[in-house]
Amino acid sequence: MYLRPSRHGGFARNDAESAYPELWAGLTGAWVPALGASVSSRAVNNVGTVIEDLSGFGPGMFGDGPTEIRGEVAGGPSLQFAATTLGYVEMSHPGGRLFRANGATIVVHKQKTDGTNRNATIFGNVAGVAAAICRLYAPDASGNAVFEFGGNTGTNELSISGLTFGDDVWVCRAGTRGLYVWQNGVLVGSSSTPVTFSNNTTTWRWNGGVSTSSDLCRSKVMLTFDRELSDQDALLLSRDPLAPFVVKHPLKLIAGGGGAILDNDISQSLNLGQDATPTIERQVSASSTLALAGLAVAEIGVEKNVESELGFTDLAEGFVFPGDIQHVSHDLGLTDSAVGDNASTEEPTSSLALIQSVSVVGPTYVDVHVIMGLEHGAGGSIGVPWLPIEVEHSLGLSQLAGRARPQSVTSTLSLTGAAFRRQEVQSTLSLVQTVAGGEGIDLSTQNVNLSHVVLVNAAFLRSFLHNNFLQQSLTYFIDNSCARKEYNRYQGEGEGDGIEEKPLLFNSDFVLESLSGPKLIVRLRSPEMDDRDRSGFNRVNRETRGGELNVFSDPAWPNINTLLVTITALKQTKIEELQEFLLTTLGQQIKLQDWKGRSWAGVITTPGDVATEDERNAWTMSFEFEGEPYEGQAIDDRIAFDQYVLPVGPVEREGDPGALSLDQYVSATLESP
Amino acid sequence: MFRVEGPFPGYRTTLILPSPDFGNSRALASTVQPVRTMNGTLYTYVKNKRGRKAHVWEFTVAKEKSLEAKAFVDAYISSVIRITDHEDVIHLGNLTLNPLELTGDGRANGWPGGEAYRFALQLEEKV
Repeated sequence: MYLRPSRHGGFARNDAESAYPELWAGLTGAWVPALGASVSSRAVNNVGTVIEDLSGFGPGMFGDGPTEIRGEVAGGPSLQFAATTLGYVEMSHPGGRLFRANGATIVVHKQKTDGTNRNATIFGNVAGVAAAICRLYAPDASGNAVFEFGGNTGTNELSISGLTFGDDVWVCRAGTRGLYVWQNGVLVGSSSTPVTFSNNTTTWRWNGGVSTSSDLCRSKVMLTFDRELSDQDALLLSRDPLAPFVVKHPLKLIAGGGGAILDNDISQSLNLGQDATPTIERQVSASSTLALAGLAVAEIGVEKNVESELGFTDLAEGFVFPGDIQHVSHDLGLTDSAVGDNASTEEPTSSLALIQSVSVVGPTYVDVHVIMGLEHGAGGSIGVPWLPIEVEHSLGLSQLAGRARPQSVTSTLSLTGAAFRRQEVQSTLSLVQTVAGGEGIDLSTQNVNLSHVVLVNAAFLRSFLHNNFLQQSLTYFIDNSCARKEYNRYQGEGEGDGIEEKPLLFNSDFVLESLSGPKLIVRLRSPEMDDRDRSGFNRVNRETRGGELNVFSDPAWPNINTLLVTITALKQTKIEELQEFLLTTLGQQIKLQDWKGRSWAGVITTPGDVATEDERNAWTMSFEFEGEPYEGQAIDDRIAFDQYVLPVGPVEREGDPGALSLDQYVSATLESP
Repeated sequence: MFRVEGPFPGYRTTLILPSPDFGNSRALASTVQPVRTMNGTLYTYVKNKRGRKAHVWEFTVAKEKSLEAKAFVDAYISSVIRITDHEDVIHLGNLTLNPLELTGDGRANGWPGGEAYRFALQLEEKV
């Protein structure tokens, strides 16, 4: 246990008294008004006030300007520098003796009291030559922290930007490892190039060092070392600049009562308090480790009542008789609180271990209770809202009761976890109950009640309307033979396969399309069922005087195929479109796609057929189309016989046989109908 | 309502008729004469008549109205007339009917004259 240094409670005056004796090695100057530096008011306005050196090595400092010691700053009095010119204190001897040429560490506290940046150093020597410069601007006129050692250019200067300046502890280290600057426990700048320092005879100043400029600020402490401190020591001093003066004061508290003691009161009152109130916004760790052992030994027949309370009161009193209840209880409340101003890590942790043991010989009633209440609260009122908040309970309860009969082990545990702002709520509970031996009078029971609650501060509801946006339609087709209108082109009896028919494409449109000129397409509904497919021939019929009929037809003579269609229920706009098409393609070859999907090429020969309005806006129009189907479009229209048909008996021919070029004959026996 | 005015453009007579019966027609005046040669080549001879259309409307009116229509036809059989049909579509052209037949359609109680007559107007547009 260590005591904090204070002007009233005392502080370590040498390494033997210090809890950190290593921080006294190389300590060449320690001016700490916070510890009640000697004040000798020898002049008006504190001019001439002497700040004694506590290191035992350096000289004191005295002020030449408007500088005074004030005690309004928490943690002890501080120097207040209240002028921007000559507002410094200085050492009565040259500052060169404070450092070595290749190693120095300066610790200084500075709390600016205004918001104006000036080219005034918090420490420094009145440089005669550049190599003798050792000073720190915190900040300079541009708002940067600048540490200069052995010069003010190049590698002898370390300029750090982006810092904020308020109530800060600075540790500046220079030497063979380069330039390093810590601010409030954080390494804020470094340079690994070794630098050297040239001792000189100039004066060492606090809140000065460059001409007569000074800054408006307060300062509690300045330490100088003639060596480069380790990183750990530098980090420690940047957090606690009074660490060298912490008194090593181990406490040994022993309390006990032994033997047959009657009416023996053992009382210990111990007040342990640790205050970690940093001036920096870093992780705070406060811990108390306390081991209390209360022992009350009594003979049989004496009530043994041992209690441990956080008030550190142990009691052993009273008498009971054999067989009475022995009661052992702990009431312990641990409260950890960490309060920070920023979003640094805060981890309040309570570690509690309670061990109760009652060993009884004999059939006495044994009752072991552990009553524990843990409440963890984490409030997110400060800090960054997106950082996680974790509330965690870790609780281990072990109960053991060993007795012949009866045995009853019951664990009742209620965990309630609540999280706000999109946090996950999770409770993990493991209950293990074991009953060993005995008689199963009371069955072990487990009552587990887990409640997960997520509170939502906002509910976003959407109502989705689709009156004019979404439409539904249903198209159905009853699939049966009637609906499909099964079609078998082959009609007749006996063997033989019908000619394959191209599937009917009832969903095809009746389309007229121009093949020359501007591309015109007219889509009509399918024509009526009375459409006609007319095939015309060229042949010669002659009847001789004897009444004999001679028919002649040259295969080269063309056959004329004509489609006659009638389309009904056309709207007037469609009629106008159709007649416009007829006029534009008058006498020209067009392409016609019929309702079966077959495409034809030909000419509409009756463009002047009338269109009649049979009903209101329902027109009927007919026309004739003379043309031929495209190759492969109508396999049923041009049947290619690939087998000869041979008639039975000779073929009688008249006239010049050469004029006839029939090469088809029937070879099969035709069956009479 | 069916409006017949003539002669175009200096109208002197207007004939008002009821809307025509269903069965009115319109047809292109164009003609195609297809000719196919012995080798199957198809030739067409066309008369497009500048895209003119021929309209036919048939009316059922009272006797007096039919006589009025007859008088109109007699007066302007060779003149350009203007017809505003039952759909307010205006047609300019010549009457092509010949002859005009007034066909009795039976008795018409309540109509002037007590008889109904049918007749048709044929117009070929003038483009």
